[in-house]
Amino acid sequence: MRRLVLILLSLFLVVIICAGNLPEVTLFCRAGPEAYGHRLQVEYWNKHLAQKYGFKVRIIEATRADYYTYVNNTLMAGAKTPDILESFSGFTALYGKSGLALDITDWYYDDSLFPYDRNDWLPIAMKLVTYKGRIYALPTDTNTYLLFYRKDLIPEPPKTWEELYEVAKKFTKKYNPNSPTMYGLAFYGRKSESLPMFWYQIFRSYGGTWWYDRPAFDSEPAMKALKWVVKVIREGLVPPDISTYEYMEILGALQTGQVAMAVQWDAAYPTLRDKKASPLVWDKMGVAMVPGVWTPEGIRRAHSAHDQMLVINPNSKYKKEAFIFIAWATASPEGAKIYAMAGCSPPRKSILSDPEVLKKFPRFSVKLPGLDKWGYAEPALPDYPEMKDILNTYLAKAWALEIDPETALKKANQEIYEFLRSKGYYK
Amino acid sequence: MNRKSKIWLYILAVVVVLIFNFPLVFVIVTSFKPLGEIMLPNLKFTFSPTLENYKMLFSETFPFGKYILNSITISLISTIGALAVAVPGSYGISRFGKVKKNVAFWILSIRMAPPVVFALPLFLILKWIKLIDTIPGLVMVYFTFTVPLSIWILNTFLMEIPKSVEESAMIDGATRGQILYRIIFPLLMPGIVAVFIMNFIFSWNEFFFALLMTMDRAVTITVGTARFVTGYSIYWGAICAASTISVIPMIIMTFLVQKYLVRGLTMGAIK
Amino acid sequence: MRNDRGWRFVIPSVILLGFVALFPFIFSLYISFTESTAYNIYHGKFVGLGNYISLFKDIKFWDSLRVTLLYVALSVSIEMILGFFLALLVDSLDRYQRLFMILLIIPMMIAPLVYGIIFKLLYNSIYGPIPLFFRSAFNIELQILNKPFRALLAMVIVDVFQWTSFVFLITYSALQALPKEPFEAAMIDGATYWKRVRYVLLPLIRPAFVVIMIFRLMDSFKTFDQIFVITGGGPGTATTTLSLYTYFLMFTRYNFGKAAALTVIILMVVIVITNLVFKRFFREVSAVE
Repeated sequence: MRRLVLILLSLFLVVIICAGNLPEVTLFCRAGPEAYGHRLQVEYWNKHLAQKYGFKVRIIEATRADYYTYVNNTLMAGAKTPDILESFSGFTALYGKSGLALDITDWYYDDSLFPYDRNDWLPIAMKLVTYKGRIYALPTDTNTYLLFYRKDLIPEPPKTWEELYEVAKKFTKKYNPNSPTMYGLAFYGRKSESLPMFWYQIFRSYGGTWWYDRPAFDSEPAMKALKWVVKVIREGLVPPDISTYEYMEILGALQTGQVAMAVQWDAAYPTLRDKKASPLVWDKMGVAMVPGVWTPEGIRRAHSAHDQMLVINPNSKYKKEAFIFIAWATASPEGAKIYAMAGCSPPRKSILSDPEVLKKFPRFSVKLPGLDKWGYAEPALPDYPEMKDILNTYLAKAWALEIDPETALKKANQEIYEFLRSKGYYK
Repeated sequence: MNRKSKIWLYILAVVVVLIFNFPLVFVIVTSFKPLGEIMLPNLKFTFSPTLENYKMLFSETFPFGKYILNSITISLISTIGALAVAVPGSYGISRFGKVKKNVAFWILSIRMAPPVVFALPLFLILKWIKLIDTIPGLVMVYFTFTVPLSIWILNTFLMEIPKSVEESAMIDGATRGQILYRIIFPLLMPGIVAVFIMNFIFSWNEFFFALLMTMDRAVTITVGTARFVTGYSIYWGAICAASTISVIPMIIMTFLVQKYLVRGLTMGAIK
Repeated sequence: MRNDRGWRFVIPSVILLGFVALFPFIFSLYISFTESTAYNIYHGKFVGLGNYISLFKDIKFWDSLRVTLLYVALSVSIEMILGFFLALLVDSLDRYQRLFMILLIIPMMIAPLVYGIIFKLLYNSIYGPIPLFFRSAFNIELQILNKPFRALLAMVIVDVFQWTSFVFLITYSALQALPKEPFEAAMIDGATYWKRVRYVLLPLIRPAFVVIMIFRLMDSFKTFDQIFVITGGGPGTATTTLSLYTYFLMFTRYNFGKAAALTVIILMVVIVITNLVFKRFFREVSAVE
């Protein structure tokens, strides 16, 4: 027993001694393509800039499932580390109201701390990190959904949800024994941040808006949108375990050649075009804008836009250092370019139109106009997380065919209305 | 029973053992498979063994060594700390009628309550006293189950120690404290060992509180393992390697101390 | 024996448990009457019984209660039956009983989280060995986690795989401690094996069985780790147990008030059940010993 204690003590000492001299700023991020980009940035920083600025950066990766729960717990708990956390723009309003993330507005407008071009951002990217005129984060990526399709099978990607349905049917074995793929389509199905965001795109392209005099999730466009999803699921055009589908599962379905098309975050693109990671399909992947709906004025689409963003822990010991790093990582030409070349999409116009980046990642030529013309943001309310979770629960139930679309949306809308009323949004 | 049916019984027993240990064997075997061979869409029984999964565990991005160290420290402190209060506590409860009933009931209630009941207030309290993501903080949270468990098991052991032993000592003029540490303590040793093992296992395997209350500095082996479920690709190989590492000490323990383990696992209800 | 100042020994445990268990409970009680949320944790508006009322009107609360009861009933009953027969089996072996016992209790030693992870891999519809086995052996496309009831059954199976060993262990230990005479008497009377089990053995181990059931009931009621890892409560809300629902209320919705109200209710139920169990436990335990 005594020996064990001694061994432990000495191990601790070793750890303490090895900890090094320069202060260390920790960066907490979601494992995946973004973490890969951040890791390259951190390596570059520690090699070339750490001595100049007087601090090093260490990266911690965490599981993608329930990642944001974890981030917000950390902030709410008042933990001192990590100093920088990758978060998601859906929480900007919450952070703003609660002070869970550091208000960096003053530093952002200070030229000595932010010596980069403030006009180079995609406008929507900065809008998503601002709440009531104050800035709470800097955007690393602005993501949207794209329609991934097999170029070798589908010459012209479907433009509308109805066309998508027809094409998906054509590539489902059940309806077309000659189909080279088992199912036509895949999309999000498991209750997650992304599930409502996928559905919003159908909802909004059918003409939906967030509010009438009440929340509008039981309106005509909402019904149409959910009925479309349920029809696709019920008729078996998507893998039967669709209600367990998240980022990974959609990726897997495309990689194994199980499905012909998928509506997936554009961040999946580099993985799918990587010969090693996706040996079966890497040269056959095409991307298009998310489908829409024909209106008299032409096609109407909707692109869910959200930021991956870096926030600073208000309890951190190294707040200023943290800001210097996130400014460099998101806005400096070299930092943003390292990130872009790793396959991510920093919302900097100069980077996204950089020929070298474009050559490696041609998806930006689809994504930029999509976001520019059809991008929209989620409602910016501090209570939005709970509201979204209510909707999420009922959507997931409808996805699993537990309840019919109409009941789901009526109940969801009623519950959201009562919730918002209890918070004083409605009298 | 005749010989033939005896053999059948053994065959049945072996089959049952194989079925129930299949997940464990599967995870150990998978930990030596290259990632490409785990995610194959067809059944395949041969593979080329590799250690790459284990190497990945201890790479720079995944400080698994630190998680193991955290887990060892937290489990040991929460175990020993719980014993330090539980030995006198259970002695008091078992020997003094008035205290016994109420406290024992209270302690059983804590043992029975789902951890989620304590999660929110403990989370907010730890935040308040600034112990989130620290080893002392998590140890404190683990006391919610180690202390009741210890008192409960020790109590059943104490009930077996005859009171006559103490009475004779008391006649010789020994105080309660002296009796506890000179006489009861040695007699209670098997119970203490059982409690030590149980607490260690429960703390080692705990996931829920660790998930909520640790972020960086005090991350334990279970949360560390779950972190390999990433979006890029689920590192099944690394997950299985991490699981194997966390499971091996438990299995060795099962073989070494099963006598105490049985008493501990049954909460002392059965010898 | 003098009933002298024994309470002194209990003080440290009481203080410690008071701090880590009683104080949190009081804190929960306070929060449950307020509208506490992420941006207003400690000073939420006082809403009286509002959170409790909204909980009782909440269909998802009743759903999760139903799921929990179903899960507990299924898993505990299957475990009790399997564990009992396993104990009989090992008990009737002439040699190597100890070895078989150890091998059978290994599942209990493994972290529930690890079990969850293993089964997440085993159930995977693309490369999971179980669907693969069904595909190659029976040519069936087995989708495990997409149908509500099937997913719940899959969670029950994980629980059974891990905790049957607990039932086995206690039953087996109880069998070992039984007196031999009644069996010999029954054997002389010419009773068959199953008759002896039914009329002699079962009544004798009934007390132990009650103890096991109580612990399994409470522990399977607590289940969180495996379900959280494998389905995260889905598909839809088909595997959202009370534990998971509370967790979601707290940490995805930040509705601390309502979550606290739910934990208070759970704790009340637990205390009532414990109260019933308590006297029984003491009676049965003394019977076992």
